[in-house]
Amino acid sequence: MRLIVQYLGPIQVKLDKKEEEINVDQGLSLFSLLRYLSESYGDWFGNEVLENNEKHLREGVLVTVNGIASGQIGGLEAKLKEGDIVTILPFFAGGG
Amino acid sequence: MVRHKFVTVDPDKCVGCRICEYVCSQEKDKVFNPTKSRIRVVRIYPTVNASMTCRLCEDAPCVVACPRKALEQSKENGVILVNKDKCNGCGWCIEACDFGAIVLDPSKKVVAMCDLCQGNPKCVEWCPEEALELTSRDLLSQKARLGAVKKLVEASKTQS
Amino acid sequence: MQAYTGKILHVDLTTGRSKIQTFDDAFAKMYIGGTGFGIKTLLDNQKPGIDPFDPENPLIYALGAVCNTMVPCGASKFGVFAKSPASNLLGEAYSTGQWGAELRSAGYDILVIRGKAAKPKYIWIDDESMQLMDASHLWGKTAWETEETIRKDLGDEYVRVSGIGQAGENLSRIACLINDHFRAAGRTGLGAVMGSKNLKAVAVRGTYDTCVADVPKLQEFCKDLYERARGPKTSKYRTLGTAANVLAMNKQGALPTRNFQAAMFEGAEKISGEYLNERYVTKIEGCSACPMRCEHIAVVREGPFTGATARIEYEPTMAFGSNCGVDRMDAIIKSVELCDMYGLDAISAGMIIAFGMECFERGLITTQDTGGLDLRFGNAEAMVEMVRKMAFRQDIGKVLADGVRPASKAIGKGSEAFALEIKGVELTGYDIRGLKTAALGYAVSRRGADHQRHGSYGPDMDGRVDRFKAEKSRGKIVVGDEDNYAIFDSIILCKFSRGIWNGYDEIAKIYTMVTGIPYTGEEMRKTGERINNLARIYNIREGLTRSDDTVPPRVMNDPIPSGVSKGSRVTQEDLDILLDGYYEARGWTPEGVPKSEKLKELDLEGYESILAGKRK
Repeated sequence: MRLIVQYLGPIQVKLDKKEEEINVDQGLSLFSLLRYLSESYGDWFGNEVLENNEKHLREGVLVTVNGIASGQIGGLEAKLKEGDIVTILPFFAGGG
Repeated sequence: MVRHKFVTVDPDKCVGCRICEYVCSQEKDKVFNPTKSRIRVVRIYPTVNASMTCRLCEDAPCVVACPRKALEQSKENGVILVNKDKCNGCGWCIEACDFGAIVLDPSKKVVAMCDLCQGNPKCVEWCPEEALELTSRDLLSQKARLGAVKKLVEASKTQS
Repeated sequence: MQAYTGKILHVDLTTGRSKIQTFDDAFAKMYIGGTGFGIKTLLDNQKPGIDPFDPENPLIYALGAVCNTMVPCGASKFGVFAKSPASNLLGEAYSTGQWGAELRSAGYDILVIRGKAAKPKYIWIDDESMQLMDASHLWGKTAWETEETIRKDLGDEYVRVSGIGQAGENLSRIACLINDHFRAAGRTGLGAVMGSKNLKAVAVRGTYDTCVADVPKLQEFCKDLYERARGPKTSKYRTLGTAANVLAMNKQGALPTRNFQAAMFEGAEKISGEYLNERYVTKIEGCSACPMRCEHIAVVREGPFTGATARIEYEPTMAFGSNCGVDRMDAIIKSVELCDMYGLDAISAGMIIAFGMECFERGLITTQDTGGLDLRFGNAEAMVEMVRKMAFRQDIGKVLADGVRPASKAIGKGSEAFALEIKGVELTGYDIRGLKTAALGYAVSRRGADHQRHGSYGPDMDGRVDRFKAEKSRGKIVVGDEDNYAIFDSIILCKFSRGIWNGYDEIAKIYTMVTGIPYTGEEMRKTGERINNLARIYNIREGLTRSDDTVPPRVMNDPIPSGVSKGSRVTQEDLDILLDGYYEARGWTPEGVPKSEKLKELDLEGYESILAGKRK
């Protein structure tokens, strides 16, 4: 299935890419998608997004699917569907 | 003397956080007191930060200036040694030092300067930016030479 | 007790005299420092109900417990407290840099300033001695010129200065206190309190030791903490900085845009953290004993604002950027620079100008009022000019300089409908219409609209809760967040470092290593709760009721028009559900008054008499 993956923050800077369309297996989970991207780009990607490469987002990283935070759609176990837009954003509180 | 190591700063890396001041006074005087630290941060707005400490000068002017011959430069490692019985806190050495590296402890009334913490400077150990380095003039000039040549090589690559 | 000096300096500007009061372990244990010390001192030293510009309104500086030690991210933090001229309730603001550590080196943990000088003065504290120095040659100078001149006058480049610019002299209710060039005790108008006393600055120099209780344990723990502070939990602050939030908030439909008319900004890319770092940031500096270092110093190198230099974070980028419809980073940097120089709260200034822009576009004010400025959303030059006009109270700047609440009253014509303030304090960078837990945090925040007393946008943003829904259970979340942050604001630890601390237990541990005062994690939590209740007692005494815990009309009536948060708003029903849940979780009555059992539980029965008449 086709998915659109969007990158913000340090990942965007490192990949020099804001968005891309990828093709993956039907019904892939969010976690599996992140692992797939980590395999494509290198360990640093996994370390940036996941806590010790476990099924747990690193603090300060948000992942949304069609704008909704992963926590609200069943976490990293959530199954993706055709045309979903997955966004990986740095998020941290405070600031001025 | 060219091989004697001292603590120097890279102003591009220094962020003026003053952790060096805290660990120095803690190590040497067992208290947190930046005014007793033998390494001091200078910040000039908006973006200049650098910490300064004793550079183990050749023919150290502080030693020459002292009217009571209370200062002596170690031949072994170039560190300035203070004879606490002779020093009366007059401060001539402080004026003679080009780097403001000598402090006068108000409670002890004698001067103090960096003694490299027995060869393992605490400031270097703790600096979070790795802006401080224990190095010698010899090694610094090596680094500069290598850096200059590398830059030339890079520049010629882009030209051709 | 160690580390603390145990001394409070009271200065009376009317008589020119000062006196020293001491405090003991018991006081330290109850209130810790920073916000605990500040609110307690204010409550006990200010006559109820006075006007914030009354000479008897005490201006209080209170240091964190771990000030002037190597505890990471805590060496120089301090809080400033007084009755706020913006809210007529609790005024509090925090700053860092180098000033705090210097006050402790000079022998004091708390400074209380009362009265009013006959002519402009500055306070000069030099190793415990206090002098009132002539400041007539400083009056009319910017905050930066003031610091520079004081150092020259005193012949000492290491003197630290906290002072006001022209905005504070002009009693702008959003005036702030600037120290160490780029740092500000920004919100709630405390700069105006200083100005109202004919006081220009507090200059400090100290050479005393700060000793801690357990040196080897502290060093060992700090080694570990410093590692953590350089690790992944703080990487965002050390790389792109908080401005990286711009695009994240935009994606989530939570970025205040054009006076909260929308929650997404089409120019977000050009004011993003990525853009800022690529083109403008020259250096990242740090505060005392900070292994993280996060101050992104940005410099403008071309265009009409060449040379503008300021430390840039997310909030002022939002306030002068998306919220004013301005997509020019150079104008944002210039505006922040002017705020630093003139001593204006950058968040409030940007928010107020956005309000002014909406008034202008609706024809409620004209070029007659703006001194010829075409004050529309997106007009970067007009925005920068308006900062100046506010600092000097020129044209409509005269009315805007005091905040959106008085400005909307003065302008009238229905402008209250789009005045974004709570308790007289302008909102900050989160569109709470689509962040219901945060909305609760903002509604009840003790110093007015604020994200820093709770940080409860966290559970909304990361999906722990459904951010579009109002539930009673959010009350408990906000209470937990508020109590946690009250401890951070007392020790004082930089909130950017909160990721490196593993709960109250570790904070209690380091507190004991530094001060020698035994403390458990649970006791810390309870102290956080105590401080929030103390603040509530103060606010109730000064006239606060449940109706003040609210959200602005736009948040209640105008849904977010588009994007992922489309249709969201906080209804009265939502608000009631959220408040009921919060008051219940706090152990307060349905009107938001702490119950007497709660006071007893927190050793605050002494204040029962203040509250007894307020409970229905």
